[in-house]
Amino acid sequence: MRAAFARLSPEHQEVMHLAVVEGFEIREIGEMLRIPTGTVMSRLSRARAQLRAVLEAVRPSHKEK
Amino acid sequence: MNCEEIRTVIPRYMAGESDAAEAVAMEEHLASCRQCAAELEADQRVDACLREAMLEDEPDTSAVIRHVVARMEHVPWWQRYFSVGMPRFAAVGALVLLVFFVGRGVYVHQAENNIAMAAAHDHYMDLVVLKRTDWAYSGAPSAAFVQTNFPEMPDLVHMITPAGGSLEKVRLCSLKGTHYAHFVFQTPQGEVSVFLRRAPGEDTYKPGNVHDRSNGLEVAGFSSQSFVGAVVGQDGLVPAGEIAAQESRAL
Repeated sequence: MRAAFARLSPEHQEVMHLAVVEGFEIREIGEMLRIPTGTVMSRLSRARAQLRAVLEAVRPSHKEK
Repeated sequence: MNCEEIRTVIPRYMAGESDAAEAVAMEEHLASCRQCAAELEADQRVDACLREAMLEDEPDTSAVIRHVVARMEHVPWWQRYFSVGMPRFAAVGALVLLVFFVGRGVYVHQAENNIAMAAAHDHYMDLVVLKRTDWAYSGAPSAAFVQTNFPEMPDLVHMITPAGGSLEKVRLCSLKGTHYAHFVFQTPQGEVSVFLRRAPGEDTYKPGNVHDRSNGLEVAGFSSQSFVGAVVGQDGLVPAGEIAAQESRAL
């Protein structure tokens, strides 16, 4: 999963890290990165879609780093 | 809501930030649409896996980030002064005093801190959390980078190098909507970031120092004749005054 995360663009890594790992609100992320909340949400959607594709491809061993 | 609209707001729903109407519409749709429900479940699995992978053995930098963000947030005045349980008239009185005696000072202090906060955030996100690799230049001092971006300052790198430090990498970045050059130096005590932009003639910007004692973070800003800048590093490692003085002497 970490390898898949590292392959995301810096913008996608940024929002995923802040939202999922750090637990910031979408509004807070928008303020921190100075981007609209709609952009935060679309980046989250695209990042999750990319990570999902990786998980689907490597399942059932996706928990391995 | 149709499927397309649902997928647009799934991130907000997952974060638990949908309002009541949106949450109801979402749940009604998910109950009748297997595809969107599967999409949501898959996204939740991704988050769980990511959390598990990232939290296993990563150093915890959340305290630093939360500290910086807390300072960046603009809490509405009515929330700040009416939520502490004091009688309403006392709160109004306190506000009047605040506006008349310290209001301007607080406002100016906050404005001056903006760049320091943004610089601290940038320093930590890029160097500590994300370890970005998209730097314009990494390696020995880049004469070409300085010549292109600061053509009038051939000695720039020398002027902004902290004592005992060496330039590691540099890039152009945006802080609070303004473009800066971000230089990273390695010093014997740790990493120091220097953010610079050219100062307009009338600029009197003087950002304050910010300390995060528990994490050893210090951010300081400076104005010189040519630059507006901010320096971020470990506590006691922020030579903002030295850089400004060196730059002024060089003119």
